[in-house]
Amino acid sequence: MTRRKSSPPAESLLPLPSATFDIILALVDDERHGYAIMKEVSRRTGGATTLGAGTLYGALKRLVVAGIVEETEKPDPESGDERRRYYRLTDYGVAVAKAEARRLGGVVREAQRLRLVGRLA
Amino acid sequence: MMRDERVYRVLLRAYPARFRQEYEHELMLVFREQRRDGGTSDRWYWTALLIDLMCSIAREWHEEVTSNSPSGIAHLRKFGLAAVLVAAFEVLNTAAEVQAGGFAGRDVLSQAGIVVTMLTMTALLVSGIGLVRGRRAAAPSAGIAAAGCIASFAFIGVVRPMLSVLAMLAGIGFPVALLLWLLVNRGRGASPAQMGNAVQTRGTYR
Repeated sequence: MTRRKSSPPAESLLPLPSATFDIILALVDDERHGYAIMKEVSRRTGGATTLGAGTLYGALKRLVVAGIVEETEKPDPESGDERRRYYRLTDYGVAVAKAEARRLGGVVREAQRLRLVGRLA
Repeated sequence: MMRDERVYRVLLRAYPARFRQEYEHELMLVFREQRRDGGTSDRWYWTALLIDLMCSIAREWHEEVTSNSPSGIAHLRKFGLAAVLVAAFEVLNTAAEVQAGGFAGRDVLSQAGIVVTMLTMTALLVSGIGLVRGRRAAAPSAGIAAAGCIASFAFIGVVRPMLSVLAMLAGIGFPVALLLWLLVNRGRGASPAQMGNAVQTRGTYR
């Protein structure tokens, strides 16, 4: 697992703010550049969440510093092979995402137990 | 370059230099892609964009100023230097006032005002020296000294107005600015847990 010696246990970062988790989810299945992350977050939330570019890059900067995301630079075929930054989850980032998903799963189960929501499909 | 792009580039100048150097190119690319996709023609786009800019610029500046980076320390030192200069000015000014008007002949309230002012300004001077030396531990004492300065100058201004307008402005205005800066920056040094909070609610939600 690519986890730096200084990285704290994944659970210590929880709960993640929803915007942070949205960004992480957008990177689970593929590496993406900033605009692709924004579109993926919007698609994934049905347009309910729209990340601003300044917010996104500020968040990415912090995620990179925390070792959750790493960035690479390569040409983007969609914008005339202009070089741009792509972001992908590190193994540590995946561990953080799994920990947050487990935590949210527990929250949902508790809500179900309290009959606040029905069984999810 | 189109006009809206030029406007956006000018707005990006409000970010701290380090952030701009790092991400300006990417931000411009995103802007062009949003325009290509027809998103920027919507007037709500500009509203959301400005809100996003205001929030993220404030956050990046906050991080820039409070981080243990060289620039964060530099901001600390600048405030420390300003504190030293203001405190030295006020100490000398109050000493000159005492020299000109005497001390023993004044009433008790005036004497108390002078003594308290000298004490709080000396405290501000000492804590300012600590800030100039880059010691974050000096921040709490600087805050207490600033609060004391405000109280002592307000006391003098109300009870025995004997100092010049410039001295009063500097004696109250700077400590207020210093206190605000210290209050805004009290949670400094981004830990991983704070990293999480740092991006909370920074998205624009429709």
